[in-house]
Amino acid sequence: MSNKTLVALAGQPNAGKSTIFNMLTGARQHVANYPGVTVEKKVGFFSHNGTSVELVDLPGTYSLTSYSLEERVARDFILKDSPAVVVNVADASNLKRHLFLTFQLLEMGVPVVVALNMMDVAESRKQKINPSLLEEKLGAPVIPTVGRKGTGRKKLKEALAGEASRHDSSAPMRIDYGPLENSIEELEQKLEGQVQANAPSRWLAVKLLENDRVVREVVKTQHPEGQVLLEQVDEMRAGLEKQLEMPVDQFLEQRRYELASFIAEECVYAPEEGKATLSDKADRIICNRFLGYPILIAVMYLMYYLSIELGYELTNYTWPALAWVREVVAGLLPAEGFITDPMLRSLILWVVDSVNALLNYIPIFLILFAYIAILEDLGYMPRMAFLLDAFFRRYGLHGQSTLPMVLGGVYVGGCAVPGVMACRAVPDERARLATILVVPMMNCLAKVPLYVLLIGIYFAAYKGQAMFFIATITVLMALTTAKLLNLTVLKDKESAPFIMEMPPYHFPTLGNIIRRAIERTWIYVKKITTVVAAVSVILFVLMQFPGISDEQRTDLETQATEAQETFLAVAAEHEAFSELDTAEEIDALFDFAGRYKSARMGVSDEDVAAAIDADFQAENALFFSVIKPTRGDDAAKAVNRAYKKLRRVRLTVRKEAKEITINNSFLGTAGRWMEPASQYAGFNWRVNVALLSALAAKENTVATLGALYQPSEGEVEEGAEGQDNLAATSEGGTATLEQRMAEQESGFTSLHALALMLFMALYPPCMATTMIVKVQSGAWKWMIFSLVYMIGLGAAVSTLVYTGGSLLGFDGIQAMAWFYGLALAATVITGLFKPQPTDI
Amino acid sequence: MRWKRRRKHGQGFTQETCAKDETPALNSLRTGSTAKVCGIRAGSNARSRLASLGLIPGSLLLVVANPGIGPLLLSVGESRLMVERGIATKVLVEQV
Repeated sequence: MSNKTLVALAGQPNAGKSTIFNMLTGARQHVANYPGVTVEKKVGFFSHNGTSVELVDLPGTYSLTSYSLEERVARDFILKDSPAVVVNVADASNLKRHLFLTFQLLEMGVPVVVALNMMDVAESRKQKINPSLLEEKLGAPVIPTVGRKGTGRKKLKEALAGEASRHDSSAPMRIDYGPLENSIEELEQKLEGQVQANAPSRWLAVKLLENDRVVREVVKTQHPEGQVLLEQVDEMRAGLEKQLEMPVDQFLEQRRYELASFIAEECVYAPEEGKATLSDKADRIICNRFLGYPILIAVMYLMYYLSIELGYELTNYTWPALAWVREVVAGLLPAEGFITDPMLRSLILWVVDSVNALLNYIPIFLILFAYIAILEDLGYMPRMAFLLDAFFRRYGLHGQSTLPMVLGGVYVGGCAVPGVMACRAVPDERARLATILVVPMMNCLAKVPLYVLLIGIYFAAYKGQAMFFIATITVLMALTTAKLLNLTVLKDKESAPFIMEMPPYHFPTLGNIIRRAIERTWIYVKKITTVVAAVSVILFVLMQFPGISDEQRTDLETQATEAQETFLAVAAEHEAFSELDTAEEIDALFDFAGRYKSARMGVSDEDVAAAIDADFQAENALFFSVIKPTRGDDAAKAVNRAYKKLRRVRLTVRKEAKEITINNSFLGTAGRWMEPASQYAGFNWRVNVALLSALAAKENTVATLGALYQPSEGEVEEGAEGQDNLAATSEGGTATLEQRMAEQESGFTSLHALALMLFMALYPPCMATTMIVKVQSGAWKWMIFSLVYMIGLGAAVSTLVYTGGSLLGFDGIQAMAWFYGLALAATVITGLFKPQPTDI
Repeated sequence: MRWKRRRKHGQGFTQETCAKDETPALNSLRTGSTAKVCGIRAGSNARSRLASLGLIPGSLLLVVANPGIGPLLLSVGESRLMVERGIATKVLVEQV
């Protein structure tokens, strides 16, 4: 036996394949895609008796034909990567049907070990199963397992090692195809030794009779007389069809089924069925055409409530931890300068802030993923697909598109990242790509602050309606877009008939749920933080360089020096403060004040506050008396007043420096450069800059607007540092930003705002989503396509609304109504187009 | 222990042919009715998918839900299957 053994895991959907995968590999696994396709590939590792095993999870398939992408991927892996053993996970409680796949694996001539899973379910249904008899019938080891409880792990590993090290290739079980045997034998002889396909000739012969297009292609290209042989096969098939009075592939399927039910009957004793199970009774309510939908809405609402609302509450507890990390990092970095900060400090804090903004979502994601894991384990997902399939199908989506859309934020508040990640459950390639491409249009959590900001300023009288508009218009546009994509770019993609199994309801296990929630959150954190950190560095460079010109710097420095001198003069007047006599001392004072402020931030307990005060007083009594003069100390009072004045000037100068930096920056230049075109959509350069910065993460939009619309002097308060909790940005932060924007953009109307909101709704996904689109679609071209088409669509829609609205003299609310009507009409009309007939 | 043989849903494999005229299709069955598949007029892709889930000529089935629009929910053997309406119109059945 070699040192590294490749083992594949095959099984029908709902056989509990992933529980067996986890049982064998534990935590040592990683997820990628099969090369070039949207099918996920999970690989895990374990070692048994010194042999390390690489376990590859094949896509769950009911069969191994060449009709669906998943089946081709699974089959190709077995043929091309030649795993030493294939573990076939079969549901013991539904053995007959699962044997259908087992036979096909055995026919391929690979060593198979059957993991007879869900033995507990079979038992609870009072079925009695005889594994050794099954083993004898199949000629392959059969190991009873309960994946969820880890039962049978050791025996399965032993059986695997046994099969992998076996050198005698015992003949696999042979299915007798009766009247076809002569033809099969004839073909076998013609194929023997002529085709390099890593599979027995018998399998190739059977597949040729099945009219399998992939095998036909192999024979055509490899067999010396391929074309002639295929013609013979066609003749043969036509003759057999007449003789059998049915298509040959149908006959083959029936033979397999007969054998499967024969073996199942021998090996399984099942009590008379026919009684509706508890699961069926539940389905009468849950899949009922009247009751089903209210239940669906309740389930969705509960998800929003628990993850978004409750999760948001939780961030109030986790945010301080992230803020603390930032403080520690800030403490390690060179101190702030008077006008601008050292480059290293700004860069590192910028990266930390960007990453923190996303890490802040962790509680939301933990709850969200746990809830989804519960729904999955419970078996609600397929019911959801059942209820919504008819509707989604009209738009070229799939019943299984529901979850990705909901996660993306069908109403308000989701995230496209888990939404796109969930697309892998869509079993139809065309619908899956369509879903991946429209999910980023949903209203993710990070788009909401901008909506709130703009609605607050420009649609104050129609807040409810405007919010409803933006939440539902995205769904209308997504449906229309999905349909249009289906009719155009996705036209040639494969579409599968919607025939799916509805597994019985299961009680979820706590361990499983927690494990999966943590696992998925971890994947999110790993993927996102690395991408966001990298992108934030690029964005930093774009927003900081080339920087302030010398002339502008001198100007700011003059202002600063004047203010510093005034302060020093006041300090010199007072004996006790004469030590404060250099610019360095002033920098130290501000550093001290900054640290004091962050130490006191959020502290409401008086005793704790007093202890902090004492600490700082002990550190530097002089500085402390400047920032917190004691009552009656007139000298300190006077210096404190001077200090406050200086602080105001410092803030103004710093803000000005920031504004100049952005003005001069590459991004600022780009924003202005785009203005001639973007003006038709109603965007000036400031808005352009904000939208460009949103490419990294949508949270940036409001933050950048905040930096661009500088507060005027007087309302300057410290703490407008821009890295407050998100809640603060959307509430406290924007309250003043709203006024500032309204004030400084007097030319901005509600029509501008509407165009901006619509652009935001359609705006390309953030970098994190873009990366996930790449991962899930498996191709750069789809990633680039999703970026380009969304920017194009966004620009077209906002230009239409702004320019069209201006020409017709509409205000924002009128344009909103008109646009809603148009979108609704477009949705209805595209929905009327006959759904494309599935390839059958 | 004796391993008894029992006849259950989906186990009659003698080849059936539908009564020639006016054979109803699966989509016309009401919730709660039982039927036997007598012919599948779908293409080989859909037919192969149906077969791999246990729906072949001769299979017995129970309609768990037929909401009138959208897919049907069927009980075939131990499995519950969702079948798209378009496909269901191509599955010919005999009521039993």
